[in-house]
Amino acid sequence: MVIMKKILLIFAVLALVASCGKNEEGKKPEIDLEEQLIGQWHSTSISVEGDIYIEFYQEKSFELYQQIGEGAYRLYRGTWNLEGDLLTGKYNDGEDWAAAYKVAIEGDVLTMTSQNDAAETSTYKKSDIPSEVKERCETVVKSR
Amino acid sequence: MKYRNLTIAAIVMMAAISCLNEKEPAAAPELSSKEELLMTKLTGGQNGEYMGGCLLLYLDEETTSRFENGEDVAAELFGSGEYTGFEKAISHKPKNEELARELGLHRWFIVTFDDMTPVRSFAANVAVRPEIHAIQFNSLPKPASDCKSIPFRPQVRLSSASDGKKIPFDDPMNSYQWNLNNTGDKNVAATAREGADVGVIDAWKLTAGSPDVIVAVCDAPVKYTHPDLAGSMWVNEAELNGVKGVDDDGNDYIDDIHGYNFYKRGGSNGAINWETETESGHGTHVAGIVAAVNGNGIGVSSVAGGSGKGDGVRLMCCQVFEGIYSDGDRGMSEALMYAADNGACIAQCSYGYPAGTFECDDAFINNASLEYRALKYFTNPKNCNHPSLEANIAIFAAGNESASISGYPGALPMCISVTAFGPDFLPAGYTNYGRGCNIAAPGGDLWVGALKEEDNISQILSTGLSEISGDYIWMQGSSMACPHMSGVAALGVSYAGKLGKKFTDNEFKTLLLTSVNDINQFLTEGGKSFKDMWINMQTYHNRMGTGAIDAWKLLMQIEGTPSAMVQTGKKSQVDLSEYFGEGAADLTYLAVEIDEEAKKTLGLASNPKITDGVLDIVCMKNGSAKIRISAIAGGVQLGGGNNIGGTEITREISIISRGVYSTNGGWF
Repeated sequence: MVIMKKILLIFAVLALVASCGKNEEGKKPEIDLEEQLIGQWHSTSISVEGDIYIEFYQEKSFELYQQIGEGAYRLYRGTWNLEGDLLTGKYNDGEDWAAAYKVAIEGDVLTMTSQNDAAETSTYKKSDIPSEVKERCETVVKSR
Repeated sequence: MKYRNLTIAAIVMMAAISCLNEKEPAAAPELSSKEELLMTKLTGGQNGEYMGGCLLLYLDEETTSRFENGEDVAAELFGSGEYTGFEKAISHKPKNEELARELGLHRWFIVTFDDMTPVRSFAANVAVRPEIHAIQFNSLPKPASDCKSIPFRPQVRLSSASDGKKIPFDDPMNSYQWNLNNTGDKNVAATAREGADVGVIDAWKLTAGSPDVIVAVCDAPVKYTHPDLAGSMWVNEAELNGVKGVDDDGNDYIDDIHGYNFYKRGGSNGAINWETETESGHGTHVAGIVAAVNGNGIGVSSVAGGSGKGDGVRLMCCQVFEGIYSDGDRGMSEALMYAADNGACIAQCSYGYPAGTFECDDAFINNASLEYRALKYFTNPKNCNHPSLEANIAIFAAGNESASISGYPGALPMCISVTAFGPDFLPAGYTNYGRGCNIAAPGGDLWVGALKEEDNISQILSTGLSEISGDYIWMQGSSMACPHMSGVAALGVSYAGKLGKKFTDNEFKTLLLTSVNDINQFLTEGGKSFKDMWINMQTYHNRMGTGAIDAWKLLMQIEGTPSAMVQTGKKSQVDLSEYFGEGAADLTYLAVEIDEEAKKTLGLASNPKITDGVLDIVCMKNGSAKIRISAIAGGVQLGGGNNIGGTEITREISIISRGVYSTNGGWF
């Protein structure tokens, strides 16, 4: 009988612990996708040989540092907008992004899938943009 | 009897001629006189100015060997009393003897004789000797400048650039150096144009030179004690620390601490000498444009004179002029060989034969055969002196005859020929242009200057020889344009070395000749004054080479070029100015090469085409592949053979075909 009681107690405690876990998960505040997007990202998988850094700013602007092929990073600036999980953008020269992107963020991994016929998927990881990338880009912009 | 001898000579010569390589003169047919025989052996030089009292002779291998074994072949060839001296044209032993022999340089001799004897007459007499395969008059190249200089004195204060750019060194005279940072100041010229310079300000953030890059200044003497040059001089440590009068480093030249004086075969012990009465300071000026010490708080700044930490490129003085005199082809040739043998990877040559002296490449190759072979020696990959290059680079001034062709040797495809523009970005009236010219650089233009002559600052300010100005002078000419190009090339080699990159000869020359700003945009209408004339700018359209050299663009290209992104399934246009410089629209393209595998990868149905510097391409598949595009740098036809023309340049471009495509090249 004592043994039964102990077993029941253990089950009760386990159940409580289990339910507490569920409650904790459930309580975890829903992080807004937009908030998650803000910050600096570095490409981990893109469709071509190259290297991309992007920073999404709170005030809906972005800085894109891209090196496709060889040579210095090129800096593009512009604005972005997120509706649901659909990300669109416009470069500062007035040109729209070539596609809208469906975004998903799991932990520190951002996945962007173009919503056009190409359905191109790229992944990025949260990562600081190295200062030398920023400095070199500055110079590219200034060059004659 | 004499006729019989001639006949025998002719037969022997015919046999000998059959052994000649293709660079040698054609065989003689029937001989009826000494003059006709001479014509079969004369490689030339007689069209321009040449030295009296001497001839260059190309002997057969057997006679050369006998001379090398100490036999007195001169007495046999010329008869006693007919000559005053006979020796190898290249008086010192080359380091790469095997290559020198392969090029036949060991078979060139110089015979000297009484100045009063007409050169042609002496040549006709010796032409009968079958041992003599070729005869060359010892031509006299000229500095590509009028060698007039104006001493520096503090002139008007100049304005700063609208974009805030300034030369980042504390050299007090550099505010006058519009060639390095043209602010468009109207005190320089009423027509001055901001940005009409060598584009080096941003480039200095990446490199301002490297001491392992040695530029041979083949010119008048460089005053190596000049306080703005001393720190940039190449130093032969073995000779510096050696015994005076002894060849301490065993290079066959005695006491060559900073270079050598090739005038009179190094007659004054090869000592570099700038104290002759007729010395203009031309070589010292040129040297200062390449690498006057930057950031030393005195004088001027320069293209590749370092960042103020003793890290600029090094200048090797190869003195080929002493005052207004030179040793002709012989001296130039030996200087180029010395430069190759002692570590120079760039030959900075602000001299040449006036435009028209040679009407095509073959004429130069045959008529200045010794110098051509010496150039081959300098640029042969076996003699390359920098790990980032496949071959050394020879850069020449285009010349100052206002002619529509380049002077030689610069016009050869193996050399780079540099034209000159003024502070207005327009061709200077004196510059040669057109066929054989490859690229433009600042050379100064007295005639557009805003101030009166003694205050004129539209020329180029650099180190020089002038007691009243502390050895700083203004000069102009394609002679001054040329060292800007050499300085930029030296920066490029420095940066390639810093990045650990290596380029083939064609790749590096292509980078040099495509790192340009467009000047054709200014050459569509209008004109400018030159002396008492008004010259029409349209005359120069697309005839100044590929464009105006830009140091920053060169360094960017050395870092690498971005791939060209195109949209899958649609006709795309790739602007080739990214790859061929701002003058891409005006270049003559030779071919677009793409192999079958690349075609499959990109899904190309037809070959891409180029129109006005834009590549039209249709890729039906996502993917990436490389294509090769070749073009002519300088003019619409290639040089070589009976032509005088441009140099072939080739770019390999990586094409990326994506379904996501922005016309501005952005990733998203």
